[in-house]
Amino acid sequence: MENRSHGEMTPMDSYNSEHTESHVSTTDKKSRPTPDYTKLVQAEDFKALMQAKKRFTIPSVIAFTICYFSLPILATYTDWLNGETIFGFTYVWLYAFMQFFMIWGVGFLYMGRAAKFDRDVEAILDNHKEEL
Amino acid sequence: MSMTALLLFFGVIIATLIITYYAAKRTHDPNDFYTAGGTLSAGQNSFAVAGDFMSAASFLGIAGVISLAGFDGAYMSVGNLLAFLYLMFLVAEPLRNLGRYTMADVISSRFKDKSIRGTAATSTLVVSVFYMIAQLVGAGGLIQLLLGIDYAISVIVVGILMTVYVLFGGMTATSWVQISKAVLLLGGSFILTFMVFAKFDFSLSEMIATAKAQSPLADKFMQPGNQYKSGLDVLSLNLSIAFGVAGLPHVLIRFFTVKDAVTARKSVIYSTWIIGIFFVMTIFLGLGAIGLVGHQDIVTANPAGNMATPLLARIIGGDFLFAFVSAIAFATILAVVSGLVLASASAFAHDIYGQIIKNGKISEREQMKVARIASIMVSVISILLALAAKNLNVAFLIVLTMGIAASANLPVILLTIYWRKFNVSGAVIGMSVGLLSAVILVLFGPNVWSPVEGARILTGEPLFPMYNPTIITIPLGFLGAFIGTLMGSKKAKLADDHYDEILFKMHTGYGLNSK
Repeated sequence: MENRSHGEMTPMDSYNSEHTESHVSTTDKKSRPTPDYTKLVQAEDFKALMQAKKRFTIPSVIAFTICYFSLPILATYTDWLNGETIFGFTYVWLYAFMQFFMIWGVGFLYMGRAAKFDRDVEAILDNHKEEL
Repeated sequence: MSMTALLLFFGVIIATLIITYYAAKRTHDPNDFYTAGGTLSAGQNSFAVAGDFMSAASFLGIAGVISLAGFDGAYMSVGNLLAFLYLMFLVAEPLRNLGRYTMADVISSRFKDKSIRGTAATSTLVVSVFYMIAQLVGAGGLIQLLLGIDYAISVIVVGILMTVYVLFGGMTATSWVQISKAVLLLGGSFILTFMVFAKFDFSLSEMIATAKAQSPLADKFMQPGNQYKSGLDVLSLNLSIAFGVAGLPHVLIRFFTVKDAVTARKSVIYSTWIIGIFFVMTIFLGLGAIGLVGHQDIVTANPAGNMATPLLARIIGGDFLFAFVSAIAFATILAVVSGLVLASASAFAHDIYGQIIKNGKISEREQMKVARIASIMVSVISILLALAAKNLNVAFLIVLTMGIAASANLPVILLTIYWRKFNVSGAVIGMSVGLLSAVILVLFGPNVWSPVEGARILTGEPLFPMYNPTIITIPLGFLGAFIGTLMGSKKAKLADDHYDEILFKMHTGYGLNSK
């Protein structure tokens, strides 16, 4: 019994691997048991990653949203930005140019942080190799 | 029409057809057709993404508004760029990890329910087809202005070309046309900006002083508030740009053309640089145009200011530069509309036909056939509607589509990805409310109605006062999603919700390549 089922698996496997390369989806789903995702997302390492991501994402999103929307709000509801400054630009232009640098800067920050998260993800996938 | 312009236009057509020929050789299965096989590099995709944003509307439109109204035109550029931060932080990577071909795929990866796939596909079709009609009408008018070719012929030529790219070359052709045009546009703008600065002896003060002297707004020219008077309108406009762009289906499907989330992330970040530099240049083109072309000539050529950049090119570089800028604008239109054909065709062929009608039981051969039939169908319908809309002011279509993208698509995508309690009825109701409210408020608003006869499509007092209702419709979209979720909470069985699965997959990228 044991031997027979073992003998069957090898051709099955090669059939599967051949098929996944060209054909995707259906065969793959049937061959592998679905991982227990509920257990995976409740694992300590994954929860820690979620926490770290939240701690970075939520304040950043709030900060750049406020930073940007203060531009149209100040420009329409106050005349604080109407004064003239260098080259004949008014402050509203400088504030808008600053937004470009803000956006580029935030992108730079994000890239650095995301690289750290990538390493965490690698560790998580490695920790749960057996379950996946 | 000058000989130079004609030659450059044929050059653009031939170059794009060559791209399509090579792309067609590489397009064998649905994955090639919809996502270019997921083979684009971060650099390539960043140019393609940037290309989607650097539309004729931004190349000609933003510079035009700046030349006529000063600062208010700049909201379009900075707001567009802000949209990238939302894409970067919240959307791009989960999208890549969860979706396959369409926006609906992302939502359906959590809720395996036909009603939400149908709703998302409908929203995609409405947004993409309306956006395409607006682009085609704009293209017809623009080519007529630039080259003196008849409106109907222009629309049909653009329409046939976009169909050919998508039909034979799928996403590969669409992407490479977009990439080539982005490079061309960036280079062209750089040359033009440099020459404008040279005209002012590289003195920014001189440029601004001349702009003020030439504008009827005089000293007020550099101040905000020349175009938009109401604070709510300004906020609403900014919201629709920042959130709408991050919910446009033809932009979202770009992230399926790369192999993984890291590449998707890099392409967003690189494209903020490309688009940012481009937008800074459009500001100087606008300031240069008012100074060198003058208010009267810009308005006479086109009241919205769309001719500011081409006229500026004619003044500083003669007929050749004028023809060159026109050819770039033409390439820009072609690239953007082909992306829209692909987005609409995939919603129809993959979501509605393949997944809903055929339950996903459809061979690759058949998928390709349906995708191609859908491309032709979508193109023909859009061309016919664009021909019919010749004399209509279609600016409202852009407001409408951005509103739907911001109020229907983005809220549901965000809640699907980030809210555990969200459910199918929340998604369906949220998306429907966002879509309908955006459509209804625009149709009853001043974009469509005007008491002055002929100024808008319909004559009469608008029932709703705001030009841009997004500040109301985004909260409505979220509200619909919350109420729908509450209503459906009893019915939502745990078995229907794959939140844990998508949570794990979107953050780790697990299963991406075995899908």
